[in-house]
Amino acid sequence: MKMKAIDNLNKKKFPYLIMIPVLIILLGLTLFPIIYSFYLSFCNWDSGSTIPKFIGFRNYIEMFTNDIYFWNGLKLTLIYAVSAVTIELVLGFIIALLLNQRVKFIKIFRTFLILPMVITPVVVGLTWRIMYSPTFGLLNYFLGFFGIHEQAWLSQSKTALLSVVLTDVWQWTPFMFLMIYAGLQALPNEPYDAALVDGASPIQTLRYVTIPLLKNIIILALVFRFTEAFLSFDIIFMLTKGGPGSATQTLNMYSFYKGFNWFNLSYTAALSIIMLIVLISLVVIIIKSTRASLMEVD
Amino acid sequence: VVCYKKRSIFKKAIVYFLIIFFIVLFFIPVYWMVSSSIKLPKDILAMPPKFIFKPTLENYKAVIFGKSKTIKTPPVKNFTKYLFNSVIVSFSSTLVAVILALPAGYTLARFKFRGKGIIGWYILITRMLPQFGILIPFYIMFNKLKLIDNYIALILINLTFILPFAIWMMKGFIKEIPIELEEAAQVDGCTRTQTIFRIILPLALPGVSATAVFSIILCWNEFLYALILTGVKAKTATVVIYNFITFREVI
Repeated sequence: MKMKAIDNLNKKKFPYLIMIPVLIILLGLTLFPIIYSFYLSFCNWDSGSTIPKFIGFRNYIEMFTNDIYFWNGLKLTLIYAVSAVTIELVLGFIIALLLNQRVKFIKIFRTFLILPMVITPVVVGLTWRIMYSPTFGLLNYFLGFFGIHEQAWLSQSKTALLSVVLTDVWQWTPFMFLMIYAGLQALPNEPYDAALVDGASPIQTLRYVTIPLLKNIIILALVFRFTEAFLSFDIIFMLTKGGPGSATQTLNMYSFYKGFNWFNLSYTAALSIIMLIVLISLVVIIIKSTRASLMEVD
Repeated sequence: VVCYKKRSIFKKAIVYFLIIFFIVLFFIPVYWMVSSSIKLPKDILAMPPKFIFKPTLENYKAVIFGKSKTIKTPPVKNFTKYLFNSVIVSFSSTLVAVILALPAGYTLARFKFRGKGIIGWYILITRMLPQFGILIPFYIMFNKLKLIDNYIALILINLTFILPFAIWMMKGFIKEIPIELEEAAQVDGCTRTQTIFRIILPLALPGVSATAVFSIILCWNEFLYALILTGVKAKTATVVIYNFITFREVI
């Protein structure tokens, strides 16, 4: 009995003993900066002044009532994230279904398909920047076959956002594909046999068997990608730097200009706080509305 | 039956055709990137694009040694030095992250305790923190501590995104190890530390290395923090690649 009591005590103490130091480091690295940014967002601190001066909600009021770049950025961020992630999901799903058809050379196909994902985003940006070039870009060359005239993809406000989204799609569709493909591989056979016996058409099987079974994985991939696309920086920075004008100036790009071009650090902090709130609310909406259970947190 | 067979062959053909189509679509930019690196400048700029050309290693010579015969002005000097910076930063951040994440992942996978669910959610939320919300406090702090353009600054700020990631991965991997093995070891008289070092650690090694590889890639790709927090000395390869387009305006 005595032994058991000691063992139990140990078992209870052990997790705290390990977790507390790690948690302190984790919170110090992630929560502390966000709290400091939150504090800073109620201050005025630009290149002129040396210490932050408390000004209450004025940064937020300015942002909501007087800042067209903020609203423009919010709109562009949402368009960028929603369109990129939707296209990635559809394409990734199609490719995963194709590769799931018991085809040969599957390993080679898969390796080729996930290549874009493993390239450094900065390098991806550089490569696509050359490919979008109006005079010697690869894209114009190929579109020339279809009789489409040369376009300056990145320097026209009409096409700039589209081009940036396209690059994002190119790099991250493989991620969607990989997640969904892994999910497909892990599916049990029985529901499919049952569907076959019941005489379900392939489309019905897809609609009523595959998609419901894969729901959690799809939503997880969606949440990951949406978060990354919402906070996307490298690709946009390499391709357009937010230009032309403010045609691709998403909230993150705008934060960059406010913070490190005009050194209005407190305003950038306020922008970050709003971005965090918007992003978390959207993710919660995605999870709640699909009733997905994402985490085996237990 | 014949008709059915024909249809299935037809279906197969379509499937293969579509797969090849997607592979070509995704592979063209990669091919373009790799082939450009072994082309002479005049071949890169050629229109129509040259798919067959005389390969050259001059570009790599220029990058590695900082000089070459055909490429007169190397765009970056000492690129190897900056690559070395990238190596130092990514490996040290990963080392710290794995050392911290291994016991934390083990505890999360094996024990029930208060606040466990919150920790799980918190780790997911750290992915959603805007980079600038993290960057600005660190920037102010490092400025005061004179740590700008120092490896330590980059390693610390890289930990903000790889530590939660590493904990999450380690927890998943350790959960896969059957708990019976541990119980058997304890029945045989192993203490908890012995169990961890003799049973869990060897079995978790593939997971540890997978986590390490992913963290190294994440740090290696990191651009924004390195752009702001480094100047001359600790600059990483991604920043140099960015500088490359600003200086040369290749495009």
